[in-house]
Amino acid sequence: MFKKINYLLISFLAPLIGLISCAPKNEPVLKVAVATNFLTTADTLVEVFKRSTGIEVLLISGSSGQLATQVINGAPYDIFLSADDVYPSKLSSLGFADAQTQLTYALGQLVLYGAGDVEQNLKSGNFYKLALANPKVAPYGLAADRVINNLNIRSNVEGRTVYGQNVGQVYGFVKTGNADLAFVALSQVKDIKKPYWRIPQIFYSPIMQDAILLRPGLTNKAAHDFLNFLSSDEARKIIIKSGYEVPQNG
Amino acid sequence: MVEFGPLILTLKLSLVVTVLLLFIGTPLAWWLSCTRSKLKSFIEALTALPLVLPPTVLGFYLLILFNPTSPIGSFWINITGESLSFSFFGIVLASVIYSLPFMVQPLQSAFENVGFEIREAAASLRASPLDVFIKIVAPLSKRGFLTASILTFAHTLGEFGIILMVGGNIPGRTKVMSIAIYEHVETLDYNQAHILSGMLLVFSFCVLFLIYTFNRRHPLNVG
Repeated sequence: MFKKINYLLISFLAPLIGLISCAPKNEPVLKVAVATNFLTTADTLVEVFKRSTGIEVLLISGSSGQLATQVINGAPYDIFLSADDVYPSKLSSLGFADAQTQLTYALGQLVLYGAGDVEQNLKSGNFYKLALANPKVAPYGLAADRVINNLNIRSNVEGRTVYGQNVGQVYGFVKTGNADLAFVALSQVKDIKKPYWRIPQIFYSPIMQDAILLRPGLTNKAAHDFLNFLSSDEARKIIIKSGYEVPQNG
Repeated sequence: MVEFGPLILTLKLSLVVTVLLLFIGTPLAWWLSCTRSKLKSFIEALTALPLVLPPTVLGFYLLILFNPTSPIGSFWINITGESLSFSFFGIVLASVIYSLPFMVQPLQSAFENVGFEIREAAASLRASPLDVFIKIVAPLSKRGFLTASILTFAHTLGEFGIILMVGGNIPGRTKVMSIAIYEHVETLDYNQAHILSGMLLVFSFCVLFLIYTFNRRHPLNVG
């Protein structure tokens, strides 16, 4: 009986110990918190960065709000790639980031996506549910809200608007057929054949996606290198190819 | 200053779900406690699934089930003119599924605790199965009903993941407390987050405290 239990214990513990000892040996030197909408682009950037510098980068993704909350509560990230310019400013005003280092690495492009002639459907109210990201937490949601104002279609969409926490969830609402129109990011749909309407920039203020150096990164040379890399021509090409614009001078 | 909308909506949701589940859960638990069918284990496993599955799995499936082009979604639109996703009834339905084990399992064990002998004695005195349930089993399972209802109510009160996925965050319809708190935390509005979280904390504690006090004062002599 006793023996049986011992065997059982060992057979449970052995793989567990194996798992623990397999944990990554060398801590990545650079920890970058990245807004989920930029994650796939950041993956590419990190790969290119590693090829030229040999520096290992760990990406932590989440919504900008979640990541900012984590930073305030002591998360040891070196750099923050936000989906807007508000959270980086907030972090620096609270003393968690260096205001001098804040830079716009990408300009988010808003598109209307869905079935049929999406522009016409939105303007004429010929749709069933319109999805957008929550304007209170998501920059693309705020931009979409402005577009609704500027197109003077507020009364049209009233009662038919649903909110996702971010553009990822909003895209899912259309993909699963629960909404037939949605404001999403160009970076999400650029490879899709379905027609979308790229909202002219005059209808919303630019979605500035800002990067900032966080306190733990101040003394980390790799962090400074990565920030410089973000505004290099090579990085800007990748960012544009992923469905963003970049600021003119930079 | 303080928004009561999400609080009222959350209470309404929890109440509706608890009442609905009492009607759905009671016959189901009764059947499970009496049956010798081979289907029993199958139904039991099915009932317990929401305990194991992450809300993301249920939320994902419900999003697909609820969409207006699916059989269920289009049926619902035809009879009500409203879609299931992003509606109050949608999150009621999601919560009913999610809280099912919290109603069925305590009821089933309460019914089983009443014991076969007493049921058979009643049956031999020509009580119909319905009579046996209403006159004997149900009164003896009062505490089971109470526990099951409280657990269901409390569990719905704290529901988050599924509603986040199928609710669409619509004030007055699907924006419950947990979602409102999430939004305040995310926008770094800790004041509002504190107020709402504090309300939920105190309220939840009071409900549970009252129930446990009540349970102590009125012990039921059930086997």
